[in-house]
Formats: sequence, structure tokens, C-alpha cells
Amino acid sequence: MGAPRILIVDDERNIRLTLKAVLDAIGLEADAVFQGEEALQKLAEKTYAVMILDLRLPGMDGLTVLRRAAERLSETKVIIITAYGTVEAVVEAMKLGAVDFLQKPFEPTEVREIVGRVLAISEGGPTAFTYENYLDLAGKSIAEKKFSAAFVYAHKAIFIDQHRPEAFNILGGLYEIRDQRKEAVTHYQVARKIDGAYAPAQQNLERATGKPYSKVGIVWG
Amino acid sequence: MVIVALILVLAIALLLRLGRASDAILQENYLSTLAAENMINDIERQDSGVLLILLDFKELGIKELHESEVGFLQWLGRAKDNITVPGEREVVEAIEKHYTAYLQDVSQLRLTREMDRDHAVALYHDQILPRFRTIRDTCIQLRTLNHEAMYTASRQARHLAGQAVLFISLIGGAAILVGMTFSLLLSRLISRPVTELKNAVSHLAEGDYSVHVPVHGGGELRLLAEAFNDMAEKLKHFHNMNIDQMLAEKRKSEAIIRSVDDGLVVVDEKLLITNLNPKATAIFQVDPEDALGKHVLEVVRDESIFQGLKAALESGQPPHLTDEENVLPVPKDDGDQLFQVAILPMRSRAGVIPGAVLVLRDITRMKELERLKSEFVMTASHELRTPLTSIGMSVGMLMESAAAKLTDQERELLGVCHEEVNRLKTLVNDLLDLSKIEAGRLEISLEPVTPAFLSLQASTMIKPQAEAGGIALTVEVPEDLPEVLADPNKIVWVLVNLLANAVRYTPSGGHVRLLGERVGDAVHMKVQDDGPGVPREMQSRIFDKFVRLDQGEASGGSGLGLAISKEIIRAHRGGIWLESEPGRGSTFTFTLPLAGRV
Repeated sequence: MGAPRILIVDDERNIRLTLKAVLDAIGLEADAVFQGEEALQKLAEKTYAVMILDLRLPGMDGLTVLRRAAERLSETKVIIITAYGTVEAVVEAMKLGAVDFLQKPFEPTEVREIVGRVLAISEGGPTAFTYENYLDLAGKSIAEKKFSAAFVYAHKAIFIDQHRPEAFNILGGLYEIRDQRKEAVTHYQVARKIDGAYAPAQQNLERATGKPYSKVGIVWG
Repeated sequence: MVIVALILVLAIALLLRLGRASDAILQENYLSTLAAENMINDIERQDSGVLLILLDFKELGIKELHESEVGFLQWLGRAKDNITVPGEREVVEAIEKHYTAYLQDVSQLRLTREMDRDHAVALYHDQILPRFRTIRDTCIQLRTLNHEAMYTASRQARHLAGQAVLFISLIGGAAILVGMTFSLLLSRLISRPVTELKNAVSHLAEGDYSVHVPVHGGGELRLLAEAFNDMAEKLKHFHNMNIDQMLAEKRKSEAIIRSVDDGLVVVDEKLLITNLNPKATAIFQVDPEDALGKHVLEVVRDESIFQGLKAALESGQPPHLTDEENVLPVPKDDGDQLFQVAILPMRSRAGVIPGAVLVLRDITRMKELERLKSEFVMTASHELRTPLTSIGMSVGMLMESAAAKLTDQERELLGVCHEEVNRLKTLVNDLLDLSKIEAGRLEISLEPVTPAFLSLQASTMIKPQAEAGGIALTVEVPEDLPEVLADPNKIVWVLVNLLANAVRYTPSGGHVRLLGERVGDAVHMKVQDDGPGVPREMQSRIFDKFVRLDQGEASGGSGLGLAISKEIIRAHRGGIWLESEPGRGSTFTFTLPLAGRV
């Protein structure tokens, strides 16, 4: 098999065009469609390593496309494009099987990085997208102050394994950043419940419930 | 009156005594009667004496004669001395005359007896007996005369006395009546003006300024009445003037209250409604007449407003209402109508009037506009992302692949594009933040916190940036500053934002200071730098959205940091301002209320 093929699904012509140009530049062949139905048709015709899918589409929306393509997701990894400032829809898409996402406005380097990463992980087989992977991504995003990205990755990690405290702890910290203190405390509590010996959650809980309250000093783990 | 009655009694007593005096006069009649009686007796004894002489009892007869003669003359003398009745004199004189003749006859008889008994008897029979009878009858006449006189006099006296008593009683009664009437009239005459004055004063005291006291008589009472009328007149004048003024003022304020487009509800200290304007009746859909005097909760069914009014009445201060309490939603057919609530304790220059005013401003449209604006900003920020992405991607690609083929100037132009795209991206993100804040999603959770704590948090975060820029950062916030009521995260955000700005605009080697001091009921936090300062023309707009200092190097800020800071400080009920002199640095100051003062 030749180079991995990419399917771009976006109703905006210029986005399709620029995405294609960026991928071309790194030697990836891409097909671009502008509708959900068309995307499903393409998926049926060919094998794509990656589908870059805009959540907002005319007619069938991105989430519906995801649901319809559920059985193909082991071979085609989905990267979501979202134009919204909020990431709740992305979290939903990740739960439906998307592995990563691009938030508008994005840059060529971001596209290349994420696509490259997804392709690299895919090499490892269908189960290569692990809890640790996402935890790692979340940590990196936090370091770059990309809190909404971290938020999505932490959610994805929890979706993969709900019995580990780290992702809950990180999510708690992210809720604090978003000024949702109650949610934060809840997540710290869950993390501590899962593992009483997990120190970061304990520390965060003490700080978040203390007075005066300050979110300076979140322990990410 | 008592005196009059006393006089009357005295008069009656005197009259009775007068009656008794008339009895004394009668006494004399009685004397005459007695004299007549005795004379009759004596003349009869004399006659008996004569008869005894005739019967030869000479001794006894003479003795009898002498005794009775002496008695008779004695009584006759008395009768003569006591002539009281008209005609009595004649009768007494007749008695005297007849008796003198009788005595002569008796003397003759005594002489005759000695010589001729028969002749004597005949003499007795012919002369003495008739004379005797005449005397006796005359005496009886005297007696009768005096009897009658006595009777008449007594009857007349009694009659007169009776009449007198009657008259006196009548006159006395009349006098009493007249006296009483007079005294009553007299007392009335004196006391009436005083009573009238008294009544007039009470009327005046009750606020009836139209009272007028009739002026009569003279002297002090007249002067008093006139002075009083004068005073009442003046009072009335002043009162009317005041009333007119007050009425005018009242009408004016009522007109104002009515015409105000906000709903106004006035309550007294018991939270009973004393006034409400048409707008308020429309809001609560009540009848204005019905609502007056009712408890405010019966009309305004809102617990937080009730609590707010209660607090305002108790403290005399406008209550602190949270953003949520500040808005009263009233369900209407086409969705909720929103009213901004303001509660004001009533005050006058003289002090606090017990009561409070509830002001309801219709902010439905404003809120709707705000919502539309936020929605627009949010939509715009979403919609801008797609073209921004395309442009960014294109520029990025060009910079990677085509840069080598371009001239320096063209590369520079491409650089401008890249820079501006990045700026647009930040702007879009900040816009979204701002729209979230303005949509009321800026949640503030206040708690007591020391300014030192806040300063430490902020300086810790900014220290690496300052060190990297070669700027000295000093924190001079005393540890012992009292706690303020703040949302620590938001205030730390503001401090970081101000410090970051200061670090950003201060050249390397500069100095940024974070200061804190207590001023009255607040703590002032200051961020001071010795950078280039803010141009005067910018100072007034510095807290507006999208205002950035155009100073050489791109700052990377969106121009929203200060606008958001201002929103946050406002939500804390504080103030934020800038003092800056170009070339000599800037000082940003904001205030936070002390925690103890709630």
C-alpha cells in the first residue's frame, strides 16, 4: 500500500483547499468532500487512514457522520474540526471515536503535527490510542496553556479508562481554570476516591476547598 | 341671690312685727272695751246701791254707791284718755254727761229718801232708772264700738299683713327672678367672650383657621378679642400660603411620580404601601386603590425585594443586592419582563424618613439588546474563525514555501499578514471571553482574603516574565492589611493583567512595583511602573475595549485586558483608574471593599 490517504470533509472550499495544500506539502494524498453523505460514500469506496471532519456541515452533521461510520473507525482515524470556542461538542465526538481535533483557527504546523501524530500512533495498531497517550497529550497542552485541548484529551483519557485518578485530577484542574470550582472539587474527589494515595488530587482538593481560595498552585500530576 | 332671699325673709319678719304693732294699737281699743265693761259693771253696782238705799239698807247702799262711783269715774277717765275710734269721743262725752246727771239724780234721791220714800221711789222710777239704762246702754255702745273697731282693725291688719306677705312674696319672687336673670345675664356678659375665646383657641389648635371671635363690649375683653382675631387672620394667611405651597409641591411630586417611566412603590416603616405610581400598578397588575395600605408582600410577591426593603428600613442604607436579586422577572404573555430593582431608604435634609422606595426600571429591552449583542459577538467570533483559518493557513504556507522567491519587502509584507492574522486570532478569542463576561457569566464568589495573599499569588505568576525582561519587580503590600471581600481568582487575574502590562511596556532595567494601602473602608491596590507612561489623549479611553497603546513593538495584547479588569473590579463594587504622566511612568489603582464592612 502507498502513502496513507486522507479524507477531508468540510463545507468551506477554502478550508478544503488550504488543508489539502498543507497535506500535499508533506506528501500526503487527500480527497476533499463537502458533505456528510459524500464522506460516507467515499469511506465506502476507499480506505482512508485519516478523516478530517468538520463538525458543522450542511445536512448531515459531523456527529452523525461519526455515528454512521462507526464500524470503519478502526481503520480510519477521525480528526475533528471545530469552529466553536467551546469544546463540549468535541468531547462528544471523541467519545464517538474521534481520536484528535483541530480547533479553528489552526495553522499549517498544527495540522501537520496532529495528522503526523495520528498516523504515527496508527502504526501501532487499533489499540495504540491509549490512556497514557491522551494523558501525555493533556499534559503537553497544559504546558502550552492550551487548556481547551487539554480538556478534550483528559476527557478522552477518562473515556478510555475510568479507573485511574490522573485524568480526573487533570480535569479537575482544568475546571478550576474555567472557574468551575464545584466541578473541579468533584473531579478531585473522584480521583482521590479511585486512589487514596494519589497525592496531587489530595493537594488540589485541600487547596480548592480551602480559604482563601486560589487556583494558583494546581498540581497537574 | 341668697342675699336677696335673706332680705326678703327679713322684710317678711318686719312686716309680721308691724302686724304685732297694730295689735298694740288694738290694745287701746281693748282698754276702752275694758273701761266700758267696768263702767257697765260699776253703773250696775251703783244702781244696786241706789236700790239698796231705797230698800233701806242705807249704809250698804252708800258704800256700794261710793265704791262704784269711784270705779266708774276711774274707768271713765281711762276711757276719756283712750279715745281711738271715730265717734267714741261723742259716746264717752254722752256717758259723762248722763253720768253727771245720774249722780245729781242719785244725790237728790238720797235726800228725797230721807224725807219721802215714795217720792224717792218715783224719782228712781222716773229719772234714775231711765238714766241708768241710758248710761248702761251708752257704755255698751262704747264697748260695742270698740269691739267693732278692734275687730275691724284686727281684720284689716291681718288682711293687710296677708296682702303685704303676698305682695312681698310676689315682689321678692320677682326680685329673685329678676336678680337671677340679671346675674345670669351679667355673668354671661362677662364669661361669654371668654368662653368664645376659649372655643376659638381650641378650634385654632385643631387647625380650623377660619375661626373668628365676635367683638362686643369694651375694655380688655374687646382688646383681647380683637387681638385674637388679628392673630387668627394672620395664621390663616400663613397657613393658606403654606397649604397652597404644599399642595402645589404635592401635586408636582405626584405628577413626577406619575410621569416617571419606572415603577415606584413607596412603603412606610411597617412595609405597608403608601404610594405607587401607574407604572408600578401595571407591573404588579393591581388596582391602585386596592394596593394602598397593603403589605408590600401582598403586592410585590418577591422574597428578596421584601428582605431588601426590610434591610433598607433597618439600616437606612440601600441594601446590597446580588446581580440575581437585582433583576425582577415578571411573567408576561410574550416572555418575562425584566426589571432592575433599586431600593432606597427615604431621606430628607432633616434626616431619615421612616420608609423606603422601591424603583423598578424596565430593562427587558436593554437585556434583550445585551443578549443580542453578546450573541452577535459570539456568532461573529465563531464565524470569523473559518476565514481566519483559511488566511492563516495560506499565509503560513506561503511563508514556508514561497518566502525564498520573494524580495525582502515582499517577505516583510507577508510577515505583516502573519502578524495580523495572529492578532486577529487573539482578538477573536478575547471577544468570546468578553461576550461571556458581558452575558453575565462572570461569576464572582466573594470571600475575605488578605491583599498580601492576592499580591503574592499575582507576583509569583508574573515573576518569570519580569525576570526575562530584565525588570525589577517589588511587592510592597503590608502583611497586616485587613482582609478585603473579593474573588481571589478574579483579582489575581486583574493584578496579573496589570503587572503583565507594566512589564510589557517598561523597558529593560525598569522597575515595577505592586503596592497596597488602606484608605477608609477600602484597600487600594496599585501597580506602578517607571515606563514611558500613557499619552494624555489615551488616558480617558484606556479602559475601553480594543484600546491599545501604539508603542513600537507589537504587544500581542488584544486591548481587552483592561476592559475585562474594569468589569471585574466593577463586579466587586470597586473602582479602577489610571494616573500617568508621559515619560514618568503609570500607576493603575483599583479599590476593594474591606471584608469587615458588609
